[in-house]
Amino acid sequence: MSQAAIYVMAAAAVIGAGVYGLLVGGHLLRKLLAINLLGSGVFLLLVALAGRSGGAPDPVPQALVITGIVVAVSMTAFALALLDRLFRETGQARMDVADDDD
Amino acid sequence: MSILQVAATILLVLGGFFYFAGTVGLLRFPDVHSRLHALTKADNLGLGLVCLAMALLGGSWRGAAMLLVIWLLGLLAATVSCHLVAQAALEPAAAGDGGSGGEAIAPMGRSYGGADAVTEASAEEADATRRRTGAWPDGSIAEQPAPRRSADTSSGASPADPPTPRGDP
Amino acid sequence: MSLALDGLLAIALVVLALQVVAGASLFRGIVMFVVFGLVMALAWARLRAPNLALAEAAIGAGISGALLMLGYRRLRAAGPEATRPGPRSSRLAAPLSLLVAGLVASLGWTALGLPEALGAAGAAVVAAMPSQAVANPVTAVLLVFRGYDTLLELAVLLVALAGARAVEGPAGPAELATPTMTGLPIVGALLAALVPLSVLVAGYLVHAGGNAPGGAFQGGAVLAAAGVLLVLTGRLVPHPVPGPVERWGAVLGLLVFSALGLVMLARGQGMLSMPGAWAIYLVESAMLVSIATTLVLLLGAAPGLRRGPLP
Repeated sequence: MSQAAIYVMAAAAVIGAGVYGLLVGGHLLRKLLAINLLGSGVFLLLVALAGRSGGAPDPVPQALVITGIVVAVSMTAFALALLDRLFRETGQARMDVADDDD
Repeated sequence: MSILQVAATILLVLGGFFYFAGTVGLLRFPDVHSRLHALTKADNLGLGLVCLAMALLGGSWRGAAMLLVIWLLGLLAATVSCHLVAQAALEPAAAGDGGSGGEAIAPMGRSYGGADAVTEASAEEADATRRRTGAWPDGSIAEQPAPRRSADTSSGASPADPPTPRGDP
Repeated sequence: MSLALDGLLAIALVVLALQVVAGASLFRGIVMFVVFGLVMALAWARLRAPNLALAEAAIGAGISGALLMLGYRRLRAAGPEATRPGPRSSRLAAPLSLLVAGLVASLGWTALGLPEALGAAGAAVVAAMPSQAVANPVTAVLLVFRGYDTLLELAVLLVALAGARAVEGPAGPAELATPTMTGLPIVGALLAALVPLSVLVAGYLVHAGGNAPGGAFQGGAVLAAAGVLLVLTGRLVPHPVPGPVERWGAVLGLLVFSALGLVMLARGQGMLSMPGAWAIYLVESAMLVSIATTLVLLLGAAPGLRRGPLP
């Protein structure tokens, strides 16, 4: 396995964990963390593929991922503002709906 | 390998050992303050040794100076955060909103001995909390003797007692 | 030997990700997320992306962690029930996530076998690099070749700030928890040592970003971290009315970049083309101010900041 392959597998696992957390997390903060994990997994995939040859890595995905990291933090801040408002209006920060798919 | 590389390898291994020791202390010590002690002291020494090894391998004075600055900054950050965490763990009721440090920092105030520990944490954490509430002979926390010492906590003074007046158990 | 290190980092990333989503408590999830960000920074360093390592350590682990902790603390102030995790059990979740992971893995595995080392855009960038005013290819891509993306990203930061103010509602911004223990002399010593050093390091990162790993995002994140320290220790206090520093600081990057772009368009050289290294440094300095201001305002969760009382 090359270095890029190791990180590609790790990225796939992190994306899977993010999807799992998004589906299973009852608390909205958990869902927010899972969305951030999804983003990080995708970034890892992009940059791992950018350096898949042993030489100089492709700079375009790296620049895209820098942009992505900053966008992710702004999304997190905005989501926390939404969460605060939701909590103040309804008194809870969960998305537990009664009709589970059990 | 040259003498420089051998020395750097020895320093790296030693630094890694200190990091390992700090982590073992974090996992094995019973309460917040001893964990902080182990973590801060051992980790910063480990950082210093690793920085020294990197400075030997780096080969330039500029790099060595930058690594020295990195070590000093690491010391500064670790010192301040250790002090703040230790202060917060001593007075949880005075820590502002009275709730945020409750789960991660071992709560030591009487107000956290009961309901929070049971509803919030698992049974194992509740046990650890009960053990911790007896560990500090503060004026307000003297209800339970620490079970990790054997039976004579309420009688004699353990060597770790600070010279504060003990409340009545 | 080095592959062993990569394997360890990969395993650590997966374990930390699982701890974040399925950990025992919400607080533990947030802490594990911060650790995940730090291990990601190590992974970026291993993947020969030092610009990303700097950005991830400062923004992903630092600022994100502080934001999440403050959000957690605001919820927790209402009682422990507000932050009880309690995952819903769902029979679909585990198979679905395994399916997605498998899909991504097979996609990645196929992409690994592509013959060309660089994409078409990357090959064009690498070919055009020797004639550029800056030597750092990522900075060149951000400002010279894909300047439009960077311009819009500054707009995204501004939109997040405006959006956070827009969803506040009539009750105003959420209360930032009162900083405690800020009168300790050690806190004052820390700020006296770190804040000027952060300003210096931020400026250096912008300056060095032309020819070495660095850039406006990394510098802006370090400056924002200094601002976050000041907010958390009560030296900067959230205020409902923004002052001129906050107003101008938040829009400076977007203004300077668009102004330069329009001027270049008017002179017939194509919008957002950079007439030299001076233009790149000018835009990056403006971006530094604006990124730092926006991030600190997002963390303070208030339209403005005022100097707090010295303890």
